[in-house]
Amino acid sequence: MPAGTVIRRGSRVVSERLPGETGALLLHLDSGAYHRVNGLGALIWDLLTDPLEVELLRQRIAAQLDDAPGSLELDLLAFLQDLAHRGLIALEHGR
Amino acid sequence: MAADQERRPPLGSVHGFAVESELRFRYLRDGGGEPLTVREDGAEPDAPGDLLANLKSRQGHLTQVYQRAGRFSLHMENVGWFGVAPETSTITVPRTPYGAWLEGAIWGLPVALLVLSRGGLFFHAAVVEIHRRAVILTGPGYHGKTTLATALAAAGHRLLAEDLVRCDVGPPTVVYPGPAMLRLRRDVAEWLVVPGAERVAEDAEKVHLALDPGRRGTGEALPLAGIVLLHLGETTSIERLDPGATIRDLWRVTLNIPTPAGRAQCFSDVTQLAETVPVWKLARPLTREALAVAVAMVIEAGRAT
Repeated sequence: MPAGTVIRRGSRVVSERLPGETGALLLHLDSGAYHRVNGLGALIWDLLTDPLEVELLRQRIAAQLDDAPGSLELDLLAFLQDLAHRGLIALEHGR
Repeated sequence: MAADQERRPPLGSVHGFAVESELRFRYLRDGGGEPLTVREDGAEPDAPGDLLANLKSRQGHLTQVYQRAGRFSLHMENVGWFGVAPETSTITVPRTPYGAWLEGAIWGLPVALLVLSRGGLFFHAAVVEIHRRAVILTGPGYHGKTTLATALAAAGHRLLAEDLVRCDVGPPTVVYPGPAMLRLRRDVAEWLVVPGAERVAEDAEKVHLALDPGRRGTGEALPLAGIVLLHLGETTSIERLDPGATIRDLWRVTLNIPTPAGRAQCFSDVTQLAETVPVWKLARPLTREALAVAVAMVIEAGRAT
């Protein structure tokens, strides 16, 4: 993913927090497809309330974790690519 | 002129509605509700509007759903056109000789669209009454939902719905009794008997039964005790699920108007429902021996909450 890529929540997606849990539910309004993310996924979704550059997103995630794994950047990029593939986020590549 | 315009008394209740019609129905319960007018028409609409969905029944019959200016038009293959006008709470139906079948069709998708256009949930589910509360039985097709509900009815628990159920998420969360009908597989109808039920029609796969008028009760809403998700298993077991583990299954059996606004409204209701109502997973093999055990488990779960 190119440096400076801005991540933006999909405009056709609504979300709900899982009751009693740390995860979240995402629904694509056009397709009706339903997705469930775990606690870390829900944190990422919350951090994307406003569009955010991918590096800044990584930093904010690391700040919230007690012990951020060394693979955080790779895991994050893979997760974001998956969300983009499902139409749940948009990737706007920087100049 | 004034006498002609007087409202007829309601014929009975279904899905929380008091039905007014010149048609005659077999499956209504006593009681009232919001007014709902059902009349014959069957004319093809000049401009049905946007096609929302193509739905295929298990028998392969196609139903097309259209929407225009807040109204819905449904075309059921080999039957004709239905109209749903939420603003006047009116459903128009085609002229057809298939009385019992037509009535079952009216209390399905047309009523569901009327309710969904105003908010509320509709599930593919059977529902029984246990200790004056409703217990929803739901799951994918061919998981024995109707057979289990019939067995519970045979054991003395009032059958509130056998295919579609209307639910308003609260507090309180309530369920409205649906039509007092049962459509049972022919082989199951040979050995599973609901006292007082009358055979009113048959088709290639199923026997259509009208519940005993003396046992079907009223259309008054009941509080929802819980939801049982049906799974297939090698042994019979029941376990309470965490809310987060239930939403995918509940979403799959929820009807929604396939528009962004329709989906968003149902999604919000389903997540709220999962948070507030107990949900169990009942796994069982589809055998007569396991059915008796499953009945006992559902009754106990319904009583325990």
